[in-house]
Amino acid sequence: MKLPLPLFRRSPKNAPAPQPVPVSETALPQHQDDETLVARARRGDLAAYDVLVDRYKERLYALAYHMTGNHEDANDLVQEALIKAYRSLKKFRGNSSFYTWIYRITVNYTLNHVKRRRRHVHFSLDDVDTAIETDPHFIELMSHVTPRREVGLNELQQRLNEALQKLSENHRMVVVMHDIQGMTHADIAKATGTSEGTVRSRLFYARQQLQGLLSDLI
Amino acid sequence: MKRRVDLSCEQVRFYAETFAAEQLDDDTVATVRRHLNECTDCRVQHQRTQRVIGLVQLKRYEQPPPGYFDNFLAEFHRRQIATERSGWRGVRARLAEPMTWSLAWKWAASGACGALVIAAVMWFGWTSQQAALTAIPFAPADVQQERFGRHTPVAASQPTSPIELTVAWEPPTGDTDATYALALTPDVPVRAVPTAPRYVLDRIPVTTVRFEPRADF
Repeated sequence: MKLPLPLFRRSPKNAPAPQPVPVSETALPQHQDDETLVARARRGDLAAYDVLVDRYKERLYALAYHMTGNHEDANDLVQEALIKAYRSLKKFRGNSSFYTWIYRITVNYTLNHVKRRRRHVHFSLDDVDTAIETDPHFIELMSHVTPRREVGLNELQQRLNEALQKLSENHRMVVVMHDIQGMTHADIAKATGTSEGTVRSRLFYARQQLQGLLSDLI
Repeated sequence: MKRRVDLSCEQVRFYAETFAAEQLDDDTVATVRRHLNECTDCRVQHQRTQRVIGLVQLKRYEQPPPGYFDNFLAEFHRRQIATERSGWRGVRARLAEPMTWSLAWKWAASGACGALVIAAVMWFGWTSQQAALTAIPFAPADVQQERFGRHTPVAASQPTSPIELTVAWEPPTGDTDATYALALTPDVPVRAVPTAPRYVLDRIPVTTVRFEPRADF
């Protein structure tokens, strides 16, 4: 299971913009760090940006998918966010990591999308990793709910998606970032532009709503 | 020395569900734990919340279908090109393409041909108008004498353009103080009319074209 990288790099306030990084022509792009790749992409090297896209597309997709509950919408959102980031690469000052920056762009795109299409929600479920069978929460749930594993999986997935979609956009975003993607309150606050207190408050009330929505499963 | 913290059930649930133990001070953690041990409602609620968190965390096992990202980069490039070709960025990009300039030359040549055709049509219309103007006959001398009396112009050129006309004038004797207005009528191109008022309304100029007789009149 992949967990998100630490989202935010600590940097002093008013830190000067990083100087262009000298590029080693011998190193393969796949082995270069984000700063080098960003510097190359700024100079118009699309191959360098492709490496960045390849590196983070799955995590960005996971965020968009859990927020929308739909493959196609998630794909569109991530594509649009990546294009927006590429076009705005010159505005990237390097105060945070590239992943943090692009994650925030994806968050904004996703929130705007979800608010715009609030009434037109339709699900297309992801596949489930077989490792879920060893998860204690899943074992406990299946032992109570249904002996038929396949039905249980699909039903569980459907119920979870529906419950998440019934939360407001801000509450859903916090639950996805914290409980699914494993981010800290501080990182969520920075990614959503709110305070940590707001994040905790949203998380608390979102879980209370989820208890009501999933009461027959807990 | 341990400080006793008083917390309500709602506060305990909030702390228990949204904070990790290391995020709170020791006194608050001890208070929350003691409260959860003593208050059944809060303990049950806390357990339910933990189960909900566990359920939601099962979504971590969801993965996109196999091959979902196979065409991701190709799709990204396609969309990026489409985006680049829209708006001002697209205009600038097109201007940088050689194909655009070859097309521009073709468009320029087509435009020049069109302009030539329009100019030819306009020139033909203007020459036709000139021919019609030069065909206007002057009235015979006796008719002019009848109409103009002693102020008959002795010669007038044929008009060379709709607004240009040269008139040779023989000054009448004894009218050195008179002023004259130049009037144009449909059948006779030029007519000089003394401006001495015959009626009150004659003081109002009927044409903007006026001239004064020379000093030697």
